[in-house]
Amino acid sequence: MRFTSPLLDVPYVAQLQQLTEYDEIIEVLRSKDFIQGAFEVSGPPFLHNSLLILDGKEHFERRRIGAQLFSKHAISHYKTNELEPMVQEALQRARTTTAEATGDVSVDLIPLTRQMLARVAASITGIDDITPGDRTDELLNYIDGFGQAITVEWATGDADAIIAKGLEARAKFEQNMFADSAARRKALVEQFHRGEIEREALPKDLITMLYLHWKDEWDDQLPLRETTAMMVGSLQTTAQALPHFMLHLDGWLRDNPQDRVLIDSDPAFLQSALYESLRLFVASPVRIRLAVRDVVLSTGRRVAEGERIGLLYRAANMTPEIFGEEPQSFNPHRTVTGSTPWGLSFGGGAHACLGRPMVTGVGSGDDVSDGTMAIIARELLRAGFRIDPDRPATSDSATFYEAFSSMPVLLTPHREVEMV
Amino acid sequence: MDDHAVAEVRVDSVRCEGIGYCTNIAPDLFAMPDDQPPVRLLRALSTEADVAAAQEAEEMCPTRALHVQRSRASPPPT
Repeated sequence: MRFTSPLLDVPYVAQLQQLTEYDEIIEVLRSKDFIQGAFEVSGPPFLHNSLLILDGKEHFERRRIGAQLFSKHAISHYKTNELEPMVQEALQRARTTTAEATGDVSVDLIPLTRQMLARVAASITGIDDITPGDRTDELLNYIDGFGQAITVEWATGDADAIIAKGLEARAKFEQNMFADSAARRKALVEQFHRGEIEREALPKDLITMLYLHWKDEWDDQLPLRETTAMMVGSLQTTAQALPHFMLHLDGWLRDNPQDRVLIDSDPAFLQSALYESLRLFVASPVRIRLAVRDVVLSTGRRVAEGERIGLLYRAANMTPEIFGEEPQSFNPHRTVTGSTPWGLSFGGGAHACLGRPMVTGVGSGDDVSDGTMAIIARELLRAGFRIDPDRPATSDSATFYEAFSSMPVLLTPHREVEMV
Repeated sequence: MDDHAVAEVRVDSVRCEGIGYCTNIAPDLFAMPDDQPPVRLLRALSTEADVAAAQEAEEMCPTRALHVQRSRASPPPT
């Protein structure tokens, strides 16, 4: 499979200087002369004073709070107690749908993946009572609404209308899900401060952590904004990346059937395939930075104070000197030197994705546990996953991101199937 | 590993981008000479407080370039 990575003519970035060289992008990400420069439209209503758009000391302190949600212990909890049961539940529900004439189960991978991830997002943030079925579907509808608004700069539709719908979705989410969960946690933190309960009795989630570390200068809507941003970050990007991973893997195994046996016999193969897919499909292919002073980069590139520039992560992930021969091709056996195998797919610098270890797995070298995407992929393959040959995937025309709105796939009606 | 060390810290020099969260969290443990990655460990981790600080730095590192491992002789406190 081959992919091209031209400069982007997406309206949001077309007029910006676009950096494509890996080393130049790293220089910008490390530099204190640049700050977060995205979210100009969605920022004020949805992200004001949130982790995504802060910089400097405030960003460091807020990130220090958020990092506790992605400790090794926390990640292990999310995988074992939230993801794995939901994956089985979602697959079982899919199997109860009408089987095709062939006996196969037909299901759309896009909503299926979102259902699998919903309770993880709820657990990370602290939203209670997200049970399978209607309650999960309700949450996913809300995330859809405010998720499109938070990424409105990449939308193809009318920005004002998308923002309005996003605000409506957030208001309903606040009323029907957030308010009770937040009130419960606020009361528990107050009990802790009065010495009535121990610290260990507090839930370990975003809403609780914010109340525990509350600052007087924060407004009382901040937990809602941080929660909605975290939900979008912890669900939407993985839900967009997984279909691409399954497509990459499906194509590779068709062309290289001898590798099918490795999925069960060599755990590192699926992880390598995942990292390669993530390298090629970058959920946020461009990040924007704003220069706080006139800068001349080591390449000689000049950036004026107040100028926004685009960092093209996907293009940088194609650097042959780092990612080897034919970097535009998917190759799960690729050797990468001088970078992580996923390159800049989770960003870099101080704003690198907080939840990256959840997706790629925890550990290093030969000692890496499966992350969320590998866990889901293994279960899909065990369920007899195949791309539906008669119903092609549909691109999501509502966004300039390379996302799918639909990907019909087939599963076997039985719980397990031989891999070889 | 130092005989008196409670735990060891390994720095992945490929992943380290020199963001500096570790040097902010534990400046007596981590430093970045000439402000260039990779970060360096200044001394052995000899107390539980050192281990806690190193573990926070490990989990704060945006690229997860730090790896803290306890010595076999020093299991985690109960």
